[in-house]
Amino acid sequence: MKVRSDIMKLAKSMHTWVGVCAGILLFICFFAGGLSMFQHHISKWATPTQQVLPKVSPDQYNELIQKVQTAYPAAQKNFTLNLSSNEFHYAPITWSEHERGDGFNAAQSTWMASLDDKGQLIVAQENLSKAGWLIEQLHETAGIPGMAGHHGLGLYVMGVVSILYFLALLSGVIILLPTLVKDYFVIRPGKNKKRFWLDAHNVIGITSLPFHIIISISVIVFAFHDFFYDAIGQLALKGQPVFQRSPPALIQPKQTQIDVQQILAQTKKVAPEYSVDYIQFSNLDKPEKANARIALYSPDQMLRGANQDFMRMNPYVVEHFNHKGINTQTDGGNKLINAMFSLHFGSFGGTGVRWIYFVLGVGGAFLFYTGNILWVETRARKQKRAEDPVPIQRKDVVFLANLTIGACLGCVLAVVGTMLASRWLFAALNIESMNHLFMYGYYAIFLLSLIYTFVIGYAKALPQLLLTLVLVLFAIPLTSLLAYFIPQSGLWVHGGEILVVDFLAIIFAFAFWRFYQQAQDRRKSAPIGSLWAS
Amino acid sequence: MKAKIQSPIQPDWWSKTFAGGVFGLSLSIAIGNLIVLLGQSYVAMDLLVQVGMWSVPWVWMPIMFGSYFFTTGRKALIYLLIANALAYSCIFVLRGST
Repeated sequence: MKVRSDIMKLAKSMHTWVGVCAGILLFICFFAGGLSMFQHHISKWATPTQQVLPKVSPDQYNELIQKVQTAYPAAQKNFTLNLSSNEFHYAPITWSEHERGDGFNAAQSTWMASLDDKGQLIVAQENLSKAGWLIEQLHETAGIPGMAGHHGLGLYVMGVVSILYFLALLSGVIILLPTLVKDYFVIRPGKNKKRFWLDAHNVIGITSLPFHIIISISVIVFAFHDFFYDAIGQLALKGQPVFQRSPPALIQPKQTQIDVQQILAQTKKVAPEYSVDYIQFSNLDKPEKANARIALYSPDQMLRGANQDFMRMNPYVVEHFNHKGINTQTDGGNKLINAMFSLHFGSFGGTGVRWIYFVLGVGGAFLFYTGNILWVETRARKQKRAEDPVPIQRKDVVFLANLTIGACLGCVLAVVGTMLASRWLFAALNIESMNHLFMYGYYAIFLLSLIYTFVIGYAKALPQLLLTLVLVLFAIPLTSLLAYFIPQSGLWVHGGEILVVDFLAIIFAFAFWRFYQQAQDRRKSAPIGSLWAS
Repeated sequence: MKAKIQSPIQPDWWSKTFAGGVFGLSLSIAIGNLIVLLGQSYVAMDLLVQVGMWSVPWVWMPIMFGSYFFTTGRKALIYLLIANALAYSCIFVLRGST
């Protein structure tokens, strides 16, 4: 297809500059977003065994609740009952004395309770390890600290970045149009490294284009929905509130004792397609306002939340419920809105789609990395003939190469490095808050990698960072093996589906090993003064 | 032989970004509002406002991208201003001024 030359020129400049401005922040969000597909697995993986209490059988729930509420008045207000979710895997019942506010909160001090074999109450207060939740925070904010209103500052920054990202997507398509048929699905490895990077960039970009469009639009909504709603409320609705709350129905509960079996039976009747993951009870001390927020999972539905659909119920009067939020009980229009959320979260189609979204997320990160490297490669100065003077690379090119390699690889190293460190340090030292360890560990490794790259230069730093990544990634499954064979080491391992984390570490280790070899070869064969010579 | 392009597109980055970012946004907000106004006799309000809200970025982003393809930044500003005037007039006619 032919495209007018002035349009091509415009699209090329646009693609280059929005891409370079947005690329690194998008890399961080996409890498963390890919991992967040398995965030609860990662949290569980990073949870020391002493933070996990035994499970109880479903017929013991009522007894457990009664015992906890008698001994701990705080649980008479609100608590979470976990049935089968990885998110609250720590204990059948968890509660906290303070409501957890919005935004970043590394102190996750939580009470948890269960019953032992003899039916005796076991209670513990722990600062629960929530590595996955922190990775999700990183995904939402790109690690930009600070709050603005009730959202993180980083969320608004990413809202603006998403606008650039949308422009980059469409201008990228225009640039590719003239050679789309010829170039699509061709990756030409060989002497011309720029060709290889460009081919890889194109095939990933075009293949995942619909996914990227959905992500960019939904991020703009996540960042600016309050503003959009206010505009609609002020203009179309003449200042009325956008969401009218129907007056609460007057109910007089006869009982004030929770019967979990009754709640589950009612849920089964209302939502037979779903299974219950967990139930969050609140306002239990005010029976007429008491609420059970029931998290429902089904692999066959477009789920509105990141993992579940939710219905509400008065726990004392189970006939009184609100199931408008679940996909099976709503009309076409609401299903469209649900789809907007679900298509961002990858919360449809069960585990298969989670894996596809994981690949799209990490592939997206790779797309932004290749984009920046292409910018650098295009501006490299080359020595054309042997008698020419040794070229000196442009300062801005060196700067962006340092920034890209230091920040992108630094982010990956910081995430996997703190994950590994948490296991060893928790075993070796008496750490009170794993979450502080994760958070400060992340920033420390990230900033160190960045500074190190700027100090010694990207060409030297690249193979070293890659090799460090390989070693850390291989150490993750080795630590699990060690924990399995020498449990007295203080290390821990969770079996079953949590092994997916170790499995992914091995896959990534081999991938980075390959990248390391390529970086080494390129560094050795690079002529003096060229882009990759150190 | 290449035909010479009659009036090639000028870059005008700043004025076009302003046109798409500010007037494009206000136009999309107007369209979101028009969806709410026109749909209110057919669709339940709590759903309708969500559809209106979600349509803002879906409309805004193509407009923002498109505004770079006006031949000059001036034209982008003028056309988007006219579109805004039309859209907001429709809103005030439909909802009544009070």
